[in-house]
Amino acid sequence: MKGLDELYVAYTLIWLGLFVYMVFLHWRQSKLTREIENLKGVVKGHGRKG
Amino acid sequence: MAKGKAIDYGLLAGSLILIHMTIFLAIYYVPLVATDVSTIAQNPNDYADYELRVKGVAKDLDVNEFNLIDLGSSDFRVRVIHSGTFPEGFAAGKAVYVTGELIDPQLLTFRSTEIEIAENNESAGWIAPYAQKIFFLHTPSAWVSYLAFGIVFASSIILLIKGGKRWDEIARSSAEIGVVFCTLAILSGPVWAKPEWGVYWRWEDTKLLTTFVLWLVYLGYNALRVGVEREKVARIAAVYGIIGFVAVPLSFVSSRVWQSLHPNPVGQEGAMSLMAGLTLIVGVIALTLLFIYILRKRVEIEKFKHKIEDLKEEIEGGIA
Repeated sequence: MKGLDELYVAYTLIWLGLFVYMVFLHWRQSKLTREIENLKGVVKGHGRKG
Repeated sequence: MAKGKAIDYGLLAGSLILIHMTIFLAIYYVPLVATDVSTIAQNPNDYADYELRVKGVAKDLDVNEFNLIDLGSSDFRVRVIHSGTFPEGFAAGKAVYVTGELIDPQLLTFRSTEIEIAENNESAGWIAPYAQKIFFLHTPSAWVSYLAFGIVFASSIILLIKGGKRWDEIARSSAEIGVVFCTLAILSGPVWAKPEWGVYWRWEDTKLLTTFVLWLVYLGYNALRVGVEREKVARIAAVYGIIGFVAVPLSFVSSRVWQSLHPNPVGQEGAMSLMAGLTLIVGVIALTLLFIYILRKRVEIEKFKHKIEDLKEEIEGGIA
């Protein structure tokens, strides 16, 4: 069974690496979506004042 | 459901299914190819007066002395005592015949009198045959990083010719994803190298060195874009993306053109079994689909950033 542990380590590394990166992208997207919503609110507010 | 969302879910589901299929095929269906030097190593005294003919995987071969290291109950590795340059045609995993004499039965040390490298890609097998299956996700990761950097190259050219935010968004997104996949390839390689070569990394290996340089080049590309205004840096980054692409073919051909210990079975007839070839193809398709999915999401993030910049300008304009 030479190298079996290393095989699992490498597959886990690749899997986790991709998973963490995708979660990071999702988090970034959510953050930007919230910021857009806030800014849209500000723009609307300015429009009403105008 | 919007068409774009449906495509995203399809790409994600397809890639996840295929990644798991790759792992399943690699573990259960790709045959193990292991080296066999155990017969000699188990009874070294019996061979003391004879020339030895060892078929196995050696780490370095321009050597006069080598020994077999006990790696467990029946696995032995040919270890270098004097390092030097590699003979032409040598690559890890390729069959090597070493003829020599036993000079120290206690230490299992041999002096070689003849070194012969097998022709026609005959494989001697692997010291750590299970670890070799890392190949089925390691190689697709490297392939996707080449693809991503290729997209940076093409988008950068179009950006310089035609201009437009869209190509900059694609180039920037693709460069980031390329670095992620390149990092995974660079990290998974040493996990294989340790049991197979005995060391995690070999700076003298051209494949490893050129791939590390490739990683640094695109890490630099991403660093260039952090915290700098988009419009100012887009064209400079495009030029960097075009020049930096030189590192991709350099990394790809390095183990084919220069002597390298890095295995090089892709594209070599007879170097892989049918099942291994099929599993590799499934792995490449899986990670390519995942790359397309991530690229779409990452470009969307760039669009969001543009939108935020526009809204901020609108607000500043309104206040002014």
